[in-house]
Amino acid sequence: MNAEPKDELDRAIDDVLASVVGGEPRQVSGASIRLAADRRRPSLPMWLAAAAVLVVALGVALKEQRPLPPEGESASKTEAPHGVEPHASPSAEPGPSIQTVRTRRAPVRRDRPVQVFTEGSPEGLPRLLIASIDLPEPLRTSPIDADPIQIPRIEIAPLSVSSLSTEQEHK
Amino acid sequence: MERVTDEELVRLAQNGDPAAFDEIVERHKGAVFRAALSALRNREDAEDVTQETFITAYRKLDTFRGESQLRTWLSRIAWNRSMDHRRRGRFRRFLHLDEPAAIDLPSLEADPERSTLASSAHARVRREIDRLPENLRDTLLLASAGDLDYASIAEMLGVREGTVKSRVFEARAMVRLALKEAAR
Repeated sequence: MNAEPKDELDRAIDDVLASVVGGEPRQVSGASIRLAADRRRPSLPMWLAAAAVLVVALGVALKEQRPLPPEGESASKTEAPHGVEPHASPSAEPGPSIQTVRTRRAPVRRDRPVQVFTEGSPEGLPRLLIASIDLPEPLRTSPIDADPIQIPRIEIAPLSVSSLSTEQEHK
Repeated sequence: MERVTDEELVRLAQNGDPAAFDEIVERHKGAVFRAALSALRNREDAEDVTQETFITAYRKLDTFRGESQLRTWLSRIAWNRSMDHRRRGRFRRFLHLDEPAAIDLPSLEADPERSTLASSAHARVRREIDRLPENLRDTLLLASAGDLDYASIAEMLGVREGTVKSRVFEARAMVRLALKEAAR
């Protein structure tokens, strides 16, 4: 160390720092970057597709493993199929019977609450009362105005039995 | 494209001009590499991080709004990638117990540039830099790379500019003190 140790130390530190963090990358270029980025690009959709397939398969498997309701269980616990709306008959007594009426697929009002009563129901099962559904428009039928159907006369030649040979009959 | 600004290059690259992106790479790859080198102190790893940084930038260039300088934005990507790389490296070394115990000084031992240090004085300086606390050493090396000003380094590290200045000062002071004590 000479008369100015601070400066010498500073220079030594600067030299070392420059050697540690100096230089340029040798293998990086715009073309190589673009090539690498384009090459890796399809990997993401493949992952997404694989994940989607896995989720769908898992959902199907879970749905199949779900236990079916026991036979004879009230239909009120199951969802009605499309086109079949549960409908309580106006004259029906407050019993467990529920009629299903096949209707056209009209828009169904969902604003009426479904009431569930458990008191007094047989065997402790909940009794489901479903409010009646108002159709949006009364069903009307009217005669169809149409032109009379004309059927052209068809002439049919009389059947002659004698024209058949006996050999053909035996066959 | 020397006279084209970074903003113009970004706009051209966002519109699909490959030459503009190539110019961005050429213009900033050195700074990105040195930012990664400041964190990793290993040229091979820094080269990998530089590549990854520009791949990320290529994909996310549409998200660049010019709120910071392009060089700062790229350096921040490189820094985050380097931190991921550093964490993975520590985890790997943690799993391989037969590796040298100097976990904080791995890159020096494997760095081929170590052999180019001519004098023992340089080797001592370098050792003292490696012994610095990580936050001081990172800041000192980033500032020494010379590509980013203190404000950009502060933005990159998520600290105040004054913190960057004080860290650089403290780091240099610690190295100087250690070298003086070693010289006695």
